[in-house]
Amino acid sequence: MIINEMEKGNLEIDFSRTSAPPLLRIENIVKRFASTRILNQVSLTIEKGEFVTFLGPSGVGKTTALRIIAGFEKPDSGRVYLSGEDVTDLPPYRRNLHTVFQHYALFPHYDVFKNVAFSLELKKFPKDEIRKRTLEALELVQLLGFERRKTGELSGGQMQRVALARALVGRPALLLLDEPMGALDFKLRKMMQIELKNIQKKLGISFIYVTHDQDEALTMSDRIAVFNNGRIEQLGTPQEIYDRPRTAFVAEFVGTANIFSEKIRAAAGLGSENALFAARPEKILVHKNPVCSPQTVCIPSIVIDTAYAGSVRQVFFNPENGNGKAWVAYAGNSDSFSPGDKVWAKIKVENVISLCQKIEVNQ
Amino acid sequence: MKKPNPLAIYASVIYGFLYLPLAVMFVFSFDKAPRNIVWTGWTGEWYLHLFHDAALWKSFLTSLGVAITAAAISSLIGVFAAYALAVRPRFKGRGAYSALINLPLIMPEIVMGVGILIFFVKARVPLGFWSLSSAHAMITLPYTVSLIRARFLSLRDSQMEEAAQDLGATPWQAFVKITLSLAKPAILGGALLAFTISFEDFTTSFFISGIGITTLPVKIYSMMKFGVTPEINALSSILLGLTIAALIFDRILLREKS
Repeated sequence: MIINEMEKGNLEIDFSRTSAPPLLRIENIVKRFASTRILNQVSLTIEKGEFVTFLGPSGVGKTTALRIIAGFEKPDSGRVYLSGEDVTDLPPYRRNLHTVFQHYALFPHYDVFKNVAFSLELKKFPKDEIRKRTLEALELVQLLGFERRKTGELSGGQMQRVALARALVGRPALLLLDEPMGALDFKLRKMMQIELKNIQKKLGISFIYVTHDQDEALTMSDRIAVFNNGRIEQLGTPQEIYDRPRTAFVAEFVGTANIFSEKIRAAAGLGSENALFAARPEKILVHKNPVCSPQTVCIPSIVIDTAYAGSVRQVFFNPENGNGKAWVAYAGNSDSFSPGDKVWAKIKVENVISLCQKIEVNQ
Repeated sequence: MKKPNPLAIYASVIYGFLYLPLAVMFVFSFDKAPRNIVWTGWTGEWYLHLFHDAALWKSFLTSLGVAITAAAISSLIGVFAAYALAVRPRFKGRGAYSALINLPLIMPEIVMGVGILIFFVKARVPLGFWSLSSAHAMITLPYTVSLIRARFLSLRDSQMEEAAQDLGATPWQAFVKITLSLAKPAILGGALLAFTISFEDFTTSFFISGIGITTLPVKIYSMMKFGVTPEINALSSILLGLTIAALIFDRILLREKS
């Protein structure tokens, strides 16, 4: 097209056309079930090689968004583009992406090898090619030697690896993972997280990872999309999400946040009326006699309780003029406070997070 | 002496009532006397008689053919009906469709038999092998559908068909390679059940079987008009043996996969 235009003498080239389109673009996706809006104007762009996490509590639409991308659901309106091609109306089997399902959905009548080779056999690859690539995929997930095992004989972690190998063997451009670690125990989860991230980096495949576990999201993702009420409430790197949450929901869902009441805000002289502020527990210093400079916010408080948490001691306290909800701060694990102690909660002004009252549709 | 358990006695009476007649029938199939009233000694000649009875062979083969055809039709329709009733998204009137398929289970068979007969006559369908086979397929449908449906229901929420489609299978391929493969024991079990029901069916067969087509149960009934002979006992014993064999085969089939 560009060459044609040049031949026609139209030398003004639109350079945005020459760069490759993003791997995935979803535009203004709306999905209703009955009369409930599950997704409300969701838009997102994902580049090649990116690890993006859909984070949110259950029932906010993140799995539905994933199913729309995979092709299992059709949006009521909005489009889905894969590498620039509109795939909104394509069935799942015509999309160049694969899914790792929450409960793995392995085929119990096939052994591990046949499970992994499934997509290659459908595409009628030559036998030795199938064998080579299947073994490669199994090696990638460290399951070489398990080819002849039945899926029923595998542990949860092994089934998870088979599901991963099965989805990766066809070398998709995009891998969707729907809470894949939900059924694994804590230690295995931690191990798999690192392994998954390594595999993703090694293959350079884009991942969309659905989870409600904020730790998982923070450690693995390049970017996090925090879902709430059928919308992406904030999209950003883990650091942006944690350090500069845009809304009270994001601040409280990712990590812990102490939200300023209107009276505290006014007393601290922050912002204008009804502006919303918050502080992370680790940014609050609890002192019996603090030195309050103009660059700090000092809030008189009363200690309610403390809890020993290994590396830190959590201090729960009621800030003066608060709205009744206790705040929490992390003190050194050797600091001692008792319930009823009068203390000051000291926060540097630069560590106070400014939140939006409301997010606008279409950020 | 140990006191007998009253529950054991009760159970023995029930089982005795169920199975003693069969045992008596089996024993008397070896009775020398041509009329089964008194025991006169052992013989295997009645079995030999059966073997040389051409008319009996014919009706046996008819029954076999009808039962196989009916089982095939019934399980084929059963697979699709069960899929529609279990797996596909709920459609309007699904409950009613389900009830209509199960209705023959509680309907008196004689009503079915008369109804089918009138239908075939009015529709000018010749009574014979195919009309009988399709009637049998119909009365066995509730059994095949419920067996296959139960299996489909257990597979429905596993997302396996979705996984197959996600990996590049068309919906049809996903159905055949995953759901149908995994439901194979249930489908074979359903076909076997349909086979036995068809094979031993009397009422419907009695109405539908036309000139020149007689199934084994109908044949036995006509033989009985002249009294219960050891031949009938022998024949019934063979049928009993076949039924037990089918039952064992079915158990093995189902156990293998579960």
